[in-house]
Amino acid sequence: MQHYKLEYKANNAYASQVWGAYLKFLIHPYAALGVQINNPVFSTNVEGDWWISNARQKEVSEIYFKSTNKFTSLEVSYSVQIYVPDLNPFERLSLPVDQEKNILSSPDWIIDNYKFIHLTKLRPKTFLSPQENANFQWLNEGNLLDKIIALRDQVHSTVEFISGVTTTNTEASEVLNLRKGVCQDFTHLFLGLLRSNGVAARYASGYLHEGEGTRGASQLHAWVECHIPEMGWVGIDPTNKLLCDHNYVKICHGYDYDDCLPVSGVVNSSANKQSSEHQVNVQQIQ
Amino acid sequence: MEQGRLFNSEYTPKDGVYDEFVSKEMKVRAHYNLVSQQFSQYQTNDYCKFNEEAKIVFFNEGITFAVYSDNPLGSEKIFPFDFIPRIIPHDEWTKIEKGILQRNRAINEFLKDLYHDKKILKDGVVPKELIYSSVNMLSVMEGFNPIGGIYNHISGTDLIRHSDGEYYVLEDNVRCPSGVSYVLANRNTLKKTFPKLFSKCQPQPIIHYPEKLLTMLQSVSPGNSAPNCVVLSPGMYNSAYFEHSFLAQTMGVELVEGRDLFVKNDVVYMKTIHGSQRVHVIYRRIDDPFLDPLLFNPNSVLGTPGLMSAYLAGNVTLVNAPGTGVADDKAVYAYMPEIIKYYLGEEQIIKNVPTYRCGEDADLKYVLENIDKLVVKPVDESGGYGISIGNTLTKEEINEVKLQIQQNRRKYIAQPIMSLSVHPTFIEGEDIIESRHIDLRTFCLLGKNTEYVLPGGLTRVALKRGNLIVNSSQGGGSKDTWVI
Repeated sequence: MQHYKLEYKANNAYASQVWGAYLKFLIHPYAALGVQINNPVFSTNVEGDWWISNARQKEVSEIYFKSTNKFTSLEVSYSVQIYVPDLNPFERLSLPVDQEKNILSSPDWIIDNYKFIHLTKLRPKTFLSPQENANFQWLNEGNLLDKIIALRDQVHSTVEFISGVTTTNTEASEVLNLRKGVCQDFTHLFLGLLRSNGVAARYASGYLHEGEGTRGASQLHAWVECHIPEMGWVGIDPTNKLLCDHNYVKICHGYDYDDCLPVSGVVNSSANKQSSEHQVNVQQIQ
Repeated sequence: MEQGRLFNSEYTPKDGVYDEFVSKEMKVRAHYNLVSQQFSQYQTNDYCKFNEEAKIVFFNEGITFAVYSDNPLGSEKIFPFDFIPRIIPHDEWTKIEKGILQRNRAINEFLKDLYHDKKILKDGVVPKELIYSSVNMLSVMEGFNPIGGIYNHISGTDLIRHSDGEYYVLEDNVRCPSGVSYVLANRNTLKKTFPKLFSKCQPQPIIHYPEKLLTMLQSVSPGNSAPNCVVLSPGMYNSAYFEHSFLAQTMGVELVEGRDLFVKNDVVYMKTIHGSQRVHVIYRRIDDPFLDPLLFNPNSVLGTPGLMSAYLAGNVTLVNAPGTGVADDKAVYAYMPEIIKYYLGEEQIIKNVPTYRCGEDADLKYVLENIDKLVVKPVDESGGYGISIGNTLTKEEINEVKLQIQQNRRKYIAQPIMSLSVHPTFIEGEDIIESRHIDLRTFCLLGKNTEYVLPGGLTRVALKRGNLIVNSSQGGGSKDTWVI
């Protein structure tokens, strides 16, 4: 069992006064099996109501904040303690190749997972053309997990981790051109490639307990989860070239970044400019 | 064809189409006898008088609609009304009613399946690509159980009668079908114009529609014996604003806009001068993308932030359920016979118009070769926009349509040009009675243990000579529809 204290701090500043806001925060950890979540504390410098909603998925907690007060900056601070069961990603065993192949090609599997398999221009963040996909090699032989790992390593070596080059709107094909980006860019590109090869893959966002040399821990991190027969959803981090273990504390998952926005909402304001800063801290408690 | 003096003016039926009023032998159909007798007493100036009277009633009661293209500011027009009623005999109606219920029950099962096990896709009856390429398939609805298992609470099924005398379903509308207020208004107006004819013919009453609608809304409320139902309108610039206010008024519930509602703790409240009041059921006349800026279109100011999480938490019911649009896509329509068979094990009671899906190679070939005999429709546009009718196009236009189809095959379907039946209609300006094409929009309510089909429905009439498009946004009018 691992015991962490998670902290999230954000500061949103608006160019002119805001009178009232309705915001949604996706910062509370995912209530996976065996995870214990204690003492969530949410506070802001502006008075308002807040509540936790599990409406969309019972494991995902959306924190809503509603205020009718006036303000020009909103400081949010959130902390929670969590116990995560130990996870060794190498303990899980693949099915024999033939058996795995049968499941993967069955209509039931394809349709049940279709929303995380198919690429659509309606969701351009992970959309890649077949030509773009052809830049990467997809193994013909072996288990699905081995093929995925081989692809992950190609993504990792193709893209250089540099912040400030891309934005949250950058699409996978742009990342491929730039060959630079941060964790969500690695993730979008990896998702596009996986889906091009018929793998059910989804975007995961969460906290990362920093190890030596890992990247993306001072911000909310992003990685990929792949659906693999018998194993379930397996976390794979293309940014750090890792399989996810108990150091990865998920918040939520979705088709791409747009389903996992840490903050979204409506503010009543004439301000057309806003700036925001986030900070994340994961502290291990012995 | 020989001319018949069926009204006091000369009425000439058209060749090659089904005339609702007279048979091929120029005999008035039995169910029109009483109406025909009454109308043969009138002269042209009487007709003009009836027409004026009806217009005054519509004007005074504000029965209007707005067309977006020429009215960016939302000024309104009177909905053109024709005073000669369309009559459906009782036995014909019984079959239609069964067919409508069958179809909408099947659509409901289809939606339930798409948002749960997806058996119909796994069995290969409907192609998965068709469903997943639809912008109306909402993944947030997956696994969600709406109260009573109802998705399409209110459906508007459009029917036509072909030259073979059979009724066909032209399309399904299971998002926010409009038009029912005009049915009630037409009836009201005609009652004032021909009170005696009503007592003679005794058409089936429709006056209780608002009551049925309210009963249905209450039946799907999340656990409250005195639920608070509201009508959610995008506001006065919407083309159907008259209808929104009419329905709220006749049901005796509040008419609200998105800004009148707010969400706290996943519960929806309405702002009133007596403080906030909880809302249980929302009859929303706002399309899915505008419901909740947090989940859908972030720039929408029509909806209410947090509405979808209140809905998914089961604290409020939205009517119709979000995501129903995936079932009234015109490409899905083509699979309706299979869908009905799959869920209900029954044959279609009212037939589908044969449909060619341009996404499929063989169909595409046929469509491109026979485009002059077909109506080409985009699958994702409602209100009659973007439709091209093959035999009315010039060569250049045909080539352009072909190009459009090839560029985006999935977007188009084609159907044979169906000859809509015709009905005697008073033509303002020329002051004569001529035959004009009509269709029929029916209204069906599905609730928890309640089902209802409004007897008759909205007969829409294409007022321009030879025109086949009956939508009000394209210059159509309407008639009162009697089931006797």
